[in-house]
Amino acid sequence: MRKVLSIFDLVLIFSLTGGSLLGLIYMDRLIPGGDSVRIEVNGELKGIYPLNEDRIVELNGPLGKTIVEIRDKKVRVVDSPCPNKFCIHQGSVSKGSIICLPNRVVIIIGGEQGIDAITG
Amino acid sequence: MDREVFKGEVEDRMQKIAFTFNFIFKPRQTLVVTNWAGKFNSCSTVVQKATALLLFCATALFLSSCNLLSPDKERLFKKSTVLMDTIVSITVVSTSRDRAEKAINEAFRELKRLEDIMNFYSEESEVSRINRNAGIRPVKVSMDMIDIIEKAIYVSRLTDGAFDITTGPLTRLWDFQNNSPFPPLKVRGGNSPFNSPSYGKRGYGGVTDATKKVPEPSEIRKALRLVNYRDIVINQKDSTVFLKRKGMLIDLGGIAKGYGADRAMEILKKNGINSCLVAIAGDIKVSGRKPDGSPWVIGIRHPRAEKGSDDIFTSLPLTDAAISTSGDYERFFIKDGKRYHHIINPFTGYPSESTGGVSVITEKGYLSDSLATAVFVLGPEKGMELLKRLGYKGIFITGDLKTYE
Repeated sequence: MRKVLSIFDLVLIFSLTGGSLLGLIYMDRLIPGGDSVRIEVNGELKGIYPLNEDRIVELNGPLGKTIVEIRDKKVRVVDSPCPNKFCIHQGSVSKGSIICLPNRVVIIIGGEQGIDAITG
Repeated sequence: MDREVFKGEVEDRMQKIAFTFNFIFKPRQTLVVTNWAGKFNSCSTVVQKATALLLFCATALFLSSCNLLSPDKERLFKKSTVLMDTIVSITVVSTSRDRAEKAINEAFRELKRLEDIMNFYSEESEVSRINRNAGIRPVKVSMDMIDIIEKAIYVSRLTDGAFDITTGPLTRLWDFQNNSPFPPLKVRGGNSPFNSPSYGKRGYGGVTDATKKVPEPSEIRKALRLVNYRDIVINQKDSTVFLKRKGMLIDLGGIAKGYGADRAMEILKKNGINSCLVAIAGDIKVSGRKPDGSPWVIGIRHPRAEKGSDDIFTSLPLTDAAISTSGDYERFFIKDGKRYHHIINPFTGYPSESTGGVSVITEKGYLSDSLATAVFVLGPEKGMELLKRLGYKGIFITGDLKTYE
């Protein structure tokens, strides 16, 4: 009986799998992280908050109040008036972004805080 | 030129490129029968096409990197200097470095002029002349001095005395500037607070200081009797200021930087700058937006951040506004475990009982500066209530990190 899989097939399978995995890791590395999170509502910047300070941010969007929590250097949406709650299902993220499209909330974890001057 | 060697459209174009190339570099030769075209012709088609491509790319690259295509791009220009006892930083949006520099330098000159007029610690300043003649005679002063004192009295009325520039006697008594007796000794090596870069340096920080003393209650009572903004007499017509009682002293420290920021911005606008940021230490005024259209973002320092660090508690975007912060962490000393900071309550003569810091946002620098002081004196509840009543925004962060907005 002939062997179904030849050695070349195995090489192909492993290299494809390996390549895909490497691609995934590479893509993950590409997502920018940072030490601060930038929150915008309706296209307007609400504030830039440092990740190392736990806090709750309330945002007033067209549909209602979206509540964002910054805790343990991660950001998550606690509650939002959108129909599908995709933003909440994202869970806690430490890099990248969370968007609640219906309520126009954009949360981006970015690089430095982009501060132009410090008061205090 | 042997045109028949080239065949077809591409070759035709190549012929033209070759000719132009020749013409640019050796015009005379091309007009006489030349062998250049012949030499180009005898290269293989690949080489000919490669040459054409290379020429095209080189031209495209050159044109794109050339400033000829974007002459009027708006850029940020920033300049800092030491003035008014602290670091002053001005950032402007402009299409020309020369224009930006000219505007900023003029603003710096104006700030220096104001500093010389208002310096509490300089004997030649108008403030010192007014103070020396308290209870004696009116002193003729500049329009600027009349302007700032009138504004200070206005804020005193708004805050019912929580902000008061006649607290000079108290300022001197508590002496946070270390101006008397002499600059502090530097101790060789080690972690001595005397060696810390910000010790004794005006503007920021505090230290456990054995040489600083807490004034006696009787001294405080005596100084307190001289505090009353209603005893300032201004004569607009003669341009004079008179302090009614002997021993009275005015100290513009709680309003000068904000006032300076307003002035600096006026100068920048006069020089055609519409978008800029003026920062006199923590008294900041902004106008317009950055070149990419985004607003200026101001960070509020964490009130319990380590000395010298830039830990931000929160940050906010500001457009056409002025923000100032008053806090117990800017100038202070610690004695017997208690913190004595430089924001003296004009009613008690002692540092305000509030902890942490408050940032106030209004449309004018002098207002933000003086109101921040007043709100800190009044505390997070009464102070923020007053602020709200006046129609302004702010954020009070107490020492235990509770926020009031």
